[in-house]
Amino acid sequence: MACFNGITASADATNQMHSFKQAMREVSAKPDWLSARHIERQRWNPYSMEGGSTCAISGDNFAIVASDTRMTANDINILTRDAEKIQVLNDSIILTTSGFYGDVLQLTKVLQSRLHKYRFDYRADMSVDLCAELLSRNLYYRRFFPYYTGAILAGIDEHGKGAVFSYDPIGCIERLGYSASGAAEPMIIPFLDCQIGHVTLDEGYEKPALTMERAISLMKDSFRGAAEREISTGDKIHLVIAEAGKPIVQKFLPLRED
Amino acid sequence: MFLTRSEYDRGVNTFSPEGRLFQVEYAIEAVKLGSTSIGIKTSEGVLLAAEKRSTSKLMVNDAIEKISKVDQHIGVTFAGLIADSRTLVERAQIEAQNFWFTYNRKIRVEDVTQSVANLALQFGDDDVKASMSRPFGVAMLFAGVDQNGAQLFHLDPSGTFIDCKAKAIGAASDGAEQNLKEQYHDAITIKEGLKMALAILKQVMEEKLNSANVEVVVIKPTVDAKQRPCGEFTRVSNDELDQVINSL
Repeated sequence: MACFNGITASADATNQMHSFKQAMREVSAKPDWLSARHIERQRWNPYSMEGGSTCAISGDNFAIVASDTRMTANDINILTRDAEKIQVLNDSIILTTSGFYGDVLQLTKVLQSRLHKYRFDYRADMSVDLCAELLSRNLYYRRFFPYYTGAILAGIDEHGKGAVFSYDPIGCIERLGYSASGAAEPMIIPFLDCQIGHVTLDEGYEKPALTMERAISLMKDSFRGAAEREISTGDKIHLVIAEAGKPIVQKFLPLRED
Repeated sequence: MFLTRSEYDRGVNTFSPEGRLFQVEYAIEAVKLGSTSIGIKTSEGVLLAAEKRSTSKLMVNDAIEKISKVDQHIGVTFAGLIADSRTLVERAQIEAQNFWFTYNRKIRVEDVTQSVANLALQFGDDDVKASMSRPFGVAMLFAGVDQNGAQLFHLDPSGTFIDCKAKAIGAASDGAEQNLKEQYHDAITIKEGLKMALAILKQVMEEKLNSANVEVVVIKPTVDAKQRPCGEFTRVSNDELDQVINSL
């Protein structure tokens, strides 16, 4: 009999220990002081932002694309000073993307493989107009788990004119004269609005033509300005120049490294 | 001549010792049982004309469709086993829509033909991969206008397709093609082409040619909303057909 009581007592103790542990687990997972906002912030996030900026300008027979090469975590911690944010997809298409670098890599691969297959299927290189629509479709396919990228597609179109297409993360497409995306977008766009869009110039004044030399120097100025004020932009400018009928030229120019 | 083939014409993908696929060759023969269709590429677009053979007085002729629309700028006519053509035409229509959806542009005629040619070859007697157990018994003429101008492609059951200026398929294709060779020239207009096609059909058809037993589609060049060259598929009305037929 004594033996029987002993078993009951130890079973009670085990149960108590079990419920104590359960209570501890519950309180550590969801303490009373944790507000809904706290819980939301703690949730795992599938996206991260690696900073950096990209920009594209199109002219009559050229398109130039530039980006910085810095990659950061939490804007402060520099992961690398040589990140590739511009992809030359073929002789007339250049893709530049900012945002979540994992998605940038995936999106680039997807487009590269689609272009590769297009060559076999249709026995011709894809033109930038077609690629622009294709990218738009591809982004919208991920409507409810989007690629976290600000993509810009640039190049020489079927009529030999410079083209810049700008996108939001879910594929809204717009053909523009110039566009910027990434951390320094709010600084570059007003500068280009002023210098290329001439939105501040009164009607009577002469507006300087956008030559390739001027576009390149504006592009350099945009990034030097951005690197001064925006911490995740810096290290190097990766400059890609596409001119109708000529091969694509790529250059690297130094930027602030601090 | 068929006696020697008896050993090797059973399996659809068994070569004979001379290197021939008899089932495919028989499928090409099946095309010659179908009613005649003609395609002519002109300087102002491209046209398709097809005989609608009615086997009975009680048949409603208007219900037969010998020329199908693939997209706004492409039409297709066929000869042979008409039921087989349904599968191929549907593939063409899907491919055209798919291209437009992905690239926001009308597909080229050659690319539509290529994709149908791919399907035409997907036959076999294994039931795992193949969608069709035998070759398709139809030949097709794809006509349309795209960025390269007016286009006419001939596709046969072997999956071969050829860029043509003018082509005839079906029962009287040999005779009709002989006439096309004699009469065709590069500067031909749509009006002349229409007259030529109907005159040839009149010659080779067993029935008397009238607007009820012939079908004609014209695809003329136009531009789309973005000013890119494209085509416009239009069926020629019975009144217009009667006018041309009466003038022959």
